[in-house]
Amino acid sequence: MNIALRILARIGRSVLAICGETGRFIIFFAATISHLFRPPFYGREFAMALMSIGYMSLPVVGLTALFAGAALALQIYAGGSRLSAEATVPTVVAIGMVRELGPVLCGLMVAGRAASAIAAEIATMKVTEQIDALVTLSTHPTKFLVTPRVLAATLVLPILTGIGDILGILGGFLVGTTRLNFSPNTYVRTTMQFLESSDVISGLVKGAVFGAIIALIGCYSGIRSTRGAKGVGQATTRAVAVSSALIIASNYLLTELFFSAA
Amino acid sequence: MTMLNEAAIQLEDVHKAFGDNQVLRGISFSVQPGESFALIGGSGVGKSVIIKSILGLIPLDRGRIIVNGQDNRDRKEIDYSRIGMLFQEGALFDSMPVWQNVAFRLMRGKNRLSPDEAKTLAITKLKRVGLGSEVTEKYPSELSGGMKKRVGLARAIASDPEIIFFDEPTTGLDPIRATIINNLIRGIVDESKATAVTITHDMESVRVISDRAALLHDGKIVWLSESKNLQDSDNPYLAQFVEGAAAGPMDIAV
Repeated sequence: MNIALRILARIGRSVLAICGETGRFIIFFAATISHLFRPPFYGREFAMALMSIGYMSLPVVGLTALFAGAALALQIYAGGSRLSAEATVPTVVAIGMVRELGPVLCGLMVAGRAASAIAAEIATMKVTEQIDALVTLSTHPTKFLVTPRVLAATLVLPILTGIGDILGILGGFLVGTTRLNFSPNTYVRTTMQFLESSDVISGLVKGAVFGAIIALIGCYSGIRSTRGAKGVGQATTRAVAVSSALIIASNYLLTELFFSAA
Repeated sequence: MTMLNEAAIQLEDVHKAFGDNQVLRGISFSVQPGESFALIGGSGVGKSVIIKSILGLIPLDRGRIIVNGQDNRDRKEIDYSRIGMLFQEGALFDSMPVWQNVAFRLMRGKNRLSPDEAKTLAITKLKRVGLGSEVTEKYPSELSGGMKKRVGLARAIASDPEIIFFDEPTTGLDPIRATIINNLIRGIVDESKATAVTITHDMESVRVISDRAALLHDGKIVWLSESKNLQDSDNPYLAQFVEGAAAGPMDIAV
């Protein structure tokens, strides 16, 4: 009886902890949104976030997309040859990159780079009382630290996704034309023929959602961190793990939303 | 009630616990305008919790705090532009050079100055705390502990606040630098006529900086008097603290 009660108590505590954390995150999210529309606006912090989340992520996103597109072309060719459908390589590479791989890979790469950096920076600021200092200097921490990062990530991820899409298709093109005997003209024509604007737009929207997730989770993990170096480390790990999982989960939901009826 | 209107800071029956740890158990005291008040006590007795409660950074479990006639339960009601704070480790923003740290508040808000004006004023404040132009473009990571304290002090006084808080201003400094910081704080408090609250366990700081002091132990104030009475008091708690004696009424776990 005692063991059963203890198990029940543990389950109850876990459920309460999850409910509490969810509630705190919803309040945090609502506060972030409300600060987006109320002055003052911190342009310098926004520009710095654009640089660190967007520009600094370009190399890792570009390389990942390029090689993913190249590998995708090889795989589709190998699979398609079993069905005599080798000619679909350009189309499937383009649609696969633009709809799925481009935004998801971009999101995961930026989550690994930027969510961890955001969480570590804010957690360190908390540990060293810099967030308390912001309050005493008449500055709202959410407005100063969170809103610029969330706005920057939401705006810059679609751009990174677009660049990733182009480089991914380029990777497929290079492999297709050098290894798989496609003529450059045929490859480009087939790609353009079957790629629709809705494919591109859905991928960019996914990028924007992933950007918001990355910045929100990064900031929230930093602000909720506990004291000490261990707390900073835990915040960083949590930011990457949670934002990556949410990117994968929300990608499925968005795919359902955009394409389930198609 | 008269007291409420006159005091710059008034604490009434303040209680605060973190989980099972009851840190404050009914703290009441007031600080008059222009007065320099020190809160003393061992490590972990809740001195910083009191300051952060006054600043609205930590919500109270019970009691109330009035700052400049305003109940601080709602942080939005606190006018931080009239308050300065020197944090224990400086709490300088790593991503900004020294002058931007000092000018942080001056460049933001309704009455913000242009960057040039703010920088000029920041340099003036840095000079006041004994720092020359060679540090203005440096980043906090390039400064020594004593310099960080000075920059933090310059930031705290940048907007000429009416109330200034000093959190362990001499902790981590050698005796010479500690004396310099103590004298600097006393000079600034005298010049500005600001109300000052200092938390410390450095008795020299208490003697130099404060007009009145209170000793905190086990979540309560066990002694409160003028600082000049520090040596002459027959309060057993104070005597043990001043002498640094291991035996006495304060049972302090190491």
